Amino acid sequence: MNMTQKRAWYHVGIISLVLAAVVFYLIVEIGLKYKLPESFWKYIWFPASMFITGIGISFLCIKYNTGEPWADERDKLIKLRAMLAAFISVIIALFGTSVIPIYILGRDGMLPVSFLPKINFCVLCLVLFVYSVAVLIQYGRGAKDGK
Amino acid sequence: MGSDRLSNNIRRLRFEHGQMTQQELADKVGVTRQTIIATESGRYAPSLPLAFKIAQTFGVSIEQVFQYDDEKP
Repeated sequence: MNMTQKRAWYHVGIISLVLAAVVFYLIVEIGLKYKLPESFWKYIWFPASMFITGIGISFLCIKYNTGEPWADERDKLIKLRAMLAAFISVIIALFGTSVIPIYILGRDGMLPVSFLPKINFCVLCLVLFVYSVAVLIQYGRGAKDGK
Repeated sequence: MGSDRLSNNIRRLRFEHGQMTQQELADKVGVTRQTIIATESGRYAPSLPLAFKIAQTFGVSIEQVFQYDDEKP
């Protein structure tokens, strides 16, 4: 597994964890109407995010074969195609975030301003996810790489 | 990325050159082992400079490494 694949797996892992955290939050605070205590965020959320970051840094820094180049011409091509897929996903996401609220809230509907960073964050996650999955699909095509 | 019309003899040439491993070939031409695997299996058509580097590594002409079948549809 080379650096590009490692990064892609890392991003997929992080986004999955973020998604799991969001689902957990929605189920507990909105579904079960249970307000999580302040200590939860203080003693669990922050150390957990630091732990994940630490794992990620060590995961990305380990390079088992020092003689191997970090990226070659095929990696560049794979990244370019993944970037194109991510760019298309941005256009779709921007279109979706512009049109879907109109259908849900109506033309005169309003959204709290605090939703904007959340929407931006979701779009960022989506782009990163699409990019990473596109990278992994291209490397894994044929499922023989690395054997 | 690959080409159905492009075939190669990299595997045979590796074994004829002292059982050269994919990693050794990758190190010599300056790419990752995965690129050699993909090229060898026909899933990736290498750039012209890389094709020349592979041929030079084996000490043969580029036609002896890569063949283009223009009769395939």
